[in-house]
Amino acid sequence: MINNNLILIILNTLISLIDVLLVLLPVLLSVAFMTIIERKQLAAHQRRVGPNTVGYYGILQPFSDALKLILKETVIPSQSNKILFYLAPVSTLIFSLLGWGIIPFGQGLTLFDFSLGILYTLALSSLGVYGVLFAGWSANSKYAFLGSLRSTAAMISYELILSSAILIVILLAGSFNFTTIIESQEAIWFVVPLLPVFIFYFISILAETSRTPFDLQEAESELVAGFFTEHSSIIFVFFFLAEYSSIVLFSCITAILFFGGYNMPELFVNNTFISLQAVVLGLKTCVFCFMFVWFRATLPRLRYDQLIEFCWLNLLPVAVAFIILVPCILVAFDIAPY
Amino acid sequence: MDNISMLFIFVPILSLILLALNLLLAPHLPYEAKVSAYECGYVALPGQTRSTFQIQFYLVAILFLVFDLEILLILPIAVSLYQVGTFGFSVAVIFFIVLTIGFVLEIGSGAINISTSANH
Amino acid sequence: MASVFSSFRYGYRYLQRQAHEQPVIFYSCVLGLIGPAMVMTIPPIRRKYGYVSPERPPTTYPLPNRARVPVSGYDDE
Repeated sequence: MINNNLILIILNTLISLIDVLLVLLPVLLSVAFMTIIERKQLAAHQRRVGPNTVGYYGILQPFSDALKLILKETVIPSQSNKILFYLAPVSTLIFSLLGWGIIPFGQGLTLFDFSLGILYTLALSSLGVYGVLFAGWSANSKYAFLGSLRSTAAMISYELILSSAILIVILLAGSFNFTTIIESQEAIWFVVPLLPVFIFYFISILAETSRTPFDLQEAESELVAGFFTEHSSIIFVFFFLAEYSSIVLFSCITAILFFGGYNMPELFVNNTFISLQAVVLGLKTCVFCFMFVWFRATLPRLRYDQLIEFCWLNLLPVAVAFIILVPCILVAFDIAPY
Repeated sequence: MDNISMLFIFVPILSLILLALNLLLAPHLPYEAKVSAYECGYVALPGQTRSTFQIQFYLVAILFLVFDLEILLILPIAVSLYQVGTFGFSVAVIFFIVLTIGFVLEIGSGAINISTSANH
Repeated sequence: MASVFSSFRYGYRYLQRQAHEQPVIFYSCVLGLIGPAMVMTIPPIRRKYGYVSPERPPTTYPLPNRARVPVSGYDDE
């Protein structure tokens, strides 16, 4: 009997390992392709060809980049704090990959249908700041230090806007669970009643992932590469992977919170045995990934004081006003969700 | 073992595997100029790093702490707006009015004005 | 000082000026004040036009329709 139990436990572990791999491998592949999408799309915006040698149309470029960086020497500055120097990129990568654990890719297709999924996401995005802080502190170089200070201040400021925008979505859905939020958008996507909230939500996720109008920590002419100036080879890959993973993750969360996730308007009757839900979610995610790169190709960079004052003096009053307005509408028209 | 704990175990292992790959495959030939701090053509002065920095970064962090706590305190009412009814809702509105007064005070005292303090 | 008071005297012109000078703060205040105003005004109007708020979903089992039997002593005695 004990033998039987042992087999069951091992089988369970194997199955959950396969589940985790089924989520993580496509995620890592999509992150790799996100880098090539960014380069090709930026090239297209600037009427260049972009990388086109490795593989067909250059689609194997990210893999050759990754291999090259794995084979490079890791230069550890002599004055740095060695443990934190390694811990920072590792923790950044871990926290940005863990966020994929609660994304529902279809009805019931999720690693963990967590009832407090939103809080889990917010907590992980807060913990991501520690990697930046450690990296700048441990490198013991003034460029990395200043870059990490700027990055930390910008990330925590915009996290406020992010969490208040998500709070308003929760008010309409009445639940922290991602699946419930998607199900409550069957009648109408939340972007329609909450368009202004969606706009400042999108601005705040641009700043959270430190994308172009807000990428102050790597203002190239001033601070070289920001907080990862001293990081090289594989630990640089970790920062790179974490950045692009969080871009894809936040695109996915945008699709879930405001655009109905895996739901689709019933344009046709799907009477095959193939579920299109994951495909729909993927297409919506692609739209927002496209928008991330589009903003990078279009917008110039802000000055640092403009960045912080835009958050605290412009976005935050609007966010607080909406936090008061939306529940007032719900109570006044007696439509609060239960 | 359920899926999420497997994810929590697997992701750190994945990053450790990548680190080990680099350790096995990459050369390691440090010399003094290579491992010195990044600088533009001269030797970095000791004591320039980890020095004092502008107080504004600290103030932003303190303000973030207060505001994020306030928004997290509002989160429970967001899921129970129907259950708490008009009474709980009016308490939340009063809470937000107090929060707004504090916010006006912070703006008025110039805690967020990075550009003006940089001009001094 | 006189200019401050005179700007208060012409309330509408003062608001117009604020909307022009500090649009973010002004419209945030407007949005934030619209909310409580809606809570005050809209439910009476809707009730006047015959709106009845829906029954709350039950949170307990229905109570039996009889007098309660007072409990005394212990069952196992």
